[in-house]
Amino acid sequence: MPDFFVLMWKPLLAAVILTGIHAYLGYHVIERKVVFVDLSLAQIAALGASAAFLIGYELHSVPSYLLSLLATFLGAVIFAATRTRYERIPQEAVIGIVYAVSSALAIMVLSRSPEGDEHIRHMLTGNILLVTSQELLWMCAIYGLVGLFHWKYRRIFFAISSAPGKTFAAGMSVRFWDLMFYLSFGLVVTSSVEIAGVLLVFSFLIVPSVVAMLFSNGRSARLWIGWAAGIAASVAGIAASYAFDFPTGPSIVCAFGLLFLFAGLWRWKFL
Amino acid sequence: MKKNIFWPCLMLAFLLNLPAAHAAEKIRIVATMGTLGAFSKQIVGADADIHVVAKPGRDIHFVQPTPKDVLKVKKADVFVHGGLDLEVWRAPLLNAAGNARFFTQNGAAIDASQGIALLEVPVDPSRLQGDIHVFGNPHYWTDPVNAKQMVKNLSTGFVRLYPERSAEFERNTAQLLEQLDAAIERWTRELAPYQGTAFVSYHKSWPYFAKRFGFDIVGYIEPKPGIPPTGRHLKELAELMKERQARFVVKETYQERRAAEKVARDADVPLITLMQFAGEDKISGYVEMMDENIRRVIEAIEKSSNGRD
Repeated sequence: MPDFFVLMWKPLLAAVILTGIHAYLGYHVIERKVVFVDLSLAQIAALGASAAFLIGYELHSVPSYLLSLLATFLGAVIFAATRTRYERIPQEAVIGIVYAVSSALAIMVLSRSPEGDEHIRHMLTGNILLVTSQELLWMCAIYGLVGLFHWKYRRIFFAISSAPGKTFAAGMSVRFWDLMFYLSFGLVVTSSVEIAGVLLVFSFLIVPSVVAMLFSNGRSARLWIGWAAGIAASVAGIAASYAFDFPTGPSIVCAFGLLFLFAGLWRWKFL
Repeated sequence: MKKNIFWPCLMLAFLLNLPAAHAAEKIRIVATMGTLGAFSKQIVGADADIHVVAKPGRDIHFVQPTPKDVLKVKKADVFVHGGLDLEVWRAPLLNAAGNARFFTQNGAAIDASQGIALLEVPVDPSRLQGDIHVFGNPHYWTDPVNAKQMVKNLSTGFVRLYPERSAEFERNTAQLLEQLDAAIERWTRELAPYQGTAFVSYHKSWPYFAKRFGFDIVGYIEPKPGIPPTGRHLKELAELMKERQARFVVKETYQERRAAEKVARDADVPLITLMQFAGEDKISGYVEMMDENIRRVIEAIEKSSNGRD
């Protein structure tokens, strides 16, 4: 037992922190029907890092980080701009296009650089097992700031996610707040993908909110259920990873999958 | 929900781990790859409790350590690695394990690359012109003479850490070096008729091997690791293969077959898989592994039609 905690306290803590911010952002993502937006933004961030690499900056250096952040912000602008009041093209399609094009661009950029794409791939796979104390602190700082920002303007954020029609009608600047949403979202996703990888971040984002939706319609109930479910699945996944010596990230993702399955069965059988 | 999965898993975690904690009196060694594990075993002998991180047949540069790897490093007495930037995951793994023995200078980590003359050392360290490896090509043990140097490095390391057992280690080392010398003589003899033979390889894993035995590497299938070869690159490669009469194509277990197969088929030469990590194909020792590699190389050259009039 002590071994388990000595070895796994950092991944456990990281998973709890990640659940905190992502289960919340997941609520918005589900409401907005843009489930794949994080994959798209992560890929844009990777494109930024590839470009930095081509110019000659190491991965994980400050200029590389800034450039990938800048790229993410460009993505945020695209997503905010393409969400129109009367939807002509589904936003999901725009997200898909951005994903495909930025992935392809990254490969093209890297084909001109002296090294291959392993490092970029590495950036998108992350390894939560090897998370460092500095990364934990960094996550706390960034996610804390984003969380505070969202808490301060929670009314607006919830309004534009759930009922954009009404807010358009009320004369609020939906575009502006959409941009704010995607900027803060991009900031979170860029950091978390580097630590935990796209698969895991996607699960943290989507599964808790979806599970919560099965049981409740209320906003705060959904958030609380999401957090509880996210933490439970993370702990189970990390314990299983330790017990059976599976790679930690994928093990958590599968725990999330099981959680969803059982929650669905529960809902079907008992409610 | 929470209870359903969480507690049984945690109990299991508990149960599975208990026996591992009581390995008595053995020297607990973590080696990053099979080749190092095999050498360490031969030097230290029966008392070595060896854990190899990179399973054989995997790309050594990109391994995803598991909790067991972290735990093994945490409890290890000695950590043996290939040095340079061979293991991209080495620093994060050591960091996560937090075993203080491996952080200090002259600590219990042994770098097997000491004193090896490296190939492909970039002239311009900015990486812009360069190559994936800032220090030079890290696949140095594909030259068996370098493997001898590795053995010496390991031996020096083990003797430094366990001076009371130096006689035993040195005896084992001398035996191992003798084996290697005999093998090198045999390989040199076997390969002598094929001096100057050209081949193509997938990744830059074989320059040391080629240099030692007088082979000529015409080119690489992956222009850069992970980037799919472009049409032009393949065309140039095909022309080079014809011009310089490349006789076979080399890939490794973990590299995808398709591109390599196409290159080999177009040039009408055999495609062979060579091993650089002991433990692949159930071959546990370095000498046995190289024996098998050399057998495959000779067989391929004999079968190859390219360059024969």
